[in-house]
Amino acid sequence: MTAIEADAIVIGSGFAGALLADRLTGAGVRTAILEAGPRVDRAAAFETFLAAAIKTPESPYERTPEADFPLSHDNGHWYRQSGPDPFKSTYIKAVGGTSWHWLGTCVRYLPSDFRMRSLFGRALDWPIGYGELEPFYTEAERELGVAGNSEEDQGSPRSGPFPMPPVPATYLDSVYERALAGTPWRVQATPQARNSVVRNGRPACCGSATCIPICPVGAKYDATVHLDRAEARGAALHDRTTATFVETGADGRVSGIRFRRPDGSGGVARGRVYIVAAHAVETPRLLLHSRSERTPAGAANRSDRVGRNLMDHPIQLSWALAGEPVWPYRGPISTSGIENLRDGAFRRERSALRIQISNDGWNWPTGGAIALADMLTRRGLRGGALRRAVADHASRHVQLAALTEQLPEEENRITLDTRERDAFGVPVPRMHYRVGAYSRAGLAAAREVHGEIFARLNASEVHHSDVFQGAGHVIGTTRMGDDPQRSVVDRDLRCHDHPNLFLVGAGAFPTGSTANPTLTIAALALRAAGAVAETLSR
Amino acid sequence: MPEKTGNASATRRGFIAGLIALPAFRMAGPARAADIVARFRSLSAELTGFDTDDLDPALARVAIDGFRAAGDGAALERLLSGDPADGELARRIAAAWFSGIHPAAGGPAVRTFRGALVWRALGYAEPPGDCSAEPGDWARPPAPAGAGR
Repeated sequence: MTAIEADAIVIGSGFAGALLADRLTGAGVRTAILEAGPRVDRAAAFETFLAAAIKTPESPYERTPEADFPLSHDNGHWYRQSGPDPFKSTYIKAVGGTSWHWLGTCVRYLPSDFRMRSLFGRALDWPIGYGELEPFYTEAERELGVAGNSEEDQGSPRSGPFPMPPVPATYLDSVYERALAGTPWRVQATPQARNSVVRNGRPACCGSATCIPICPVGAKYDATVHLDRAEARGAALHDRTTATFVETGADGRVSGIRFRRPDGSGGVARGRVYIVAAHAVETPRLLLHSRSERTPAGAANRSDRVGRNLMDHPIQLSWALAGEPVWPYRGPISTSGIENLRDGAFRRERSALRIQISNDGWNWPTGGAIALADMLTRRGLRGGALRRAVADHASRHVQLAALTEQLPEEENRITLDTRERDAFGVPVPRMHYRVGAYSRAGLAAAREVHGEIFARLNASEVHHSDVFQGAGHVIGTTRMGDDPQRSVVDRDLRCHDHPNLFLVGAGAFPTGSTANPTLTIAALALRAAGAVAETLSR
Repeated sequence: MPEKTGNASATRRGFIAGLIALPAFRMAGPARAADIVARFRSLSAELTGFDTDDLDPALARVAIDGFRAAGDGAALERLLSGDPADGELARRIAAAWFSGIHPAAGGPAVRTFRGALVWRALGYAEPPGDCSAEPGDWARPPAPAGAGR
């Protein structure tokens, strides 16, 4: 048995864990971080990606029996799926977490996103409103380093400018903008945590076009930025160290978190305050497994809400051949979007849409340029005709991805598998998941909009995926709320059941919006930092 | 930055026809292996629209080994002997050069990423993972072919 001792114990080293560790060490708090996965060597991971036959988001990253994770191309790996729909979004285990392979999009929630019940009669309102979170959005944009157009209204009022000018939009974006002039669809620069200029020792984006799954130069923010700073300030980062059980005392406080390592060692991490930041699958999995006399339904689960209300942003993916060259496969994977379909009275009836304009051609649906000759040779093309067709076809690849809002449903949930356990004896996650009518109506609306937009591009070979895609956004499984009977954490992300346990990350979101969740994860984590510090000062 | 390649030689088809007429498979040892690589590259040039010189001999050897390991050895010999019957194998040879993904005993494997012909066919974009010629150049259409960058 080994012991880890600190004032603050942080489980998980992705966006939320890294930001908390940075804040805590900055305030002089002795902090230990436990991360199930290994450290990532950026250059080696990049080469692994190049050599991978299937270029999924997970492809660069080491996966071991002790730190296994789900795979985009195999829904049954790691997840045990109960259906009726497969849960398709994934995450990795690594120092820095899934921030390694995120796209970088930093869209704020709209004020209305916090008030779905009041405004649209759907789901529930958040316990906090946009106004309470706004200062932390601004702070999160500064911490992550968001490039954006401060003059452009995207429906979420700002108290301060973006810290960097926008990343240049692609030529492809400008083709959309021209084609959609005079239509209801407005093309806007996407705020993104990607350097448009050299900032804080990190380079500007040079257009490697591999943001997902890895930025080879570190121009895209990832959580190692804050982990490095936390470690420099004295944080102890324990990689390949998996939290397996949350221990609680008679006073209701968490007294320690057990961990295991691949070398067979293990122990208990003890602190005064505990922060679980293990993403919205592994956090509830850890809590549900932590059953004891005092916590018969698992830690933090007197409400029976741990693991429930699992959400994603089910995506309608559509792709086509534009009537003229748009020169894709250059620049960041997305630099613009259509943001003005994210709100409206129609949200009573169906999901809103956030449409991502993709610069990476047909990579997502077909494998893109690499797979193109396989397709064109099947049409009988050979020789010079093939070569010319590859060049022409690829230059006209366009693709749109519409994120829909999925309403929370209690039966969409993560439970523990009753038979299979991982290398440390913890049950693997079982996913119960259904994309409901509200989101499906949004997917249908997206197909219509995508079709009309493609028509404006004089496109041919129009495809609409007939199955939804996962957005990579895992949301809702440790809901925030004021009522301890109906939620897991309070508005400060403190567990109702355990006053020294905080659960940070997208699990806390009561509803999902159509915005990519990272900036809201970061804003909530920065907001929670105050409550964590206050707990430590008691 | 990938080199721009010239147009296919008008006489190449005749050249390859002559090559294919050679009694390749009666030869033995290194000479025969080299001959097969030469034939494979010539055939591949026909199939891909690139010049033989654009087709890396080492990669050609890897490809030949891969097709053989995947059980296509006999069909490949027939194809290299001038029998055009196996259109599907020819199709897969062409696709492999463009993608850099070749058959192998354990399933398809990436034999080259940056060297995949697709990036040279595109002409206007670096292989993913390499920086653009100039940061922000993605905001403009690429320079016309032949104008240099």
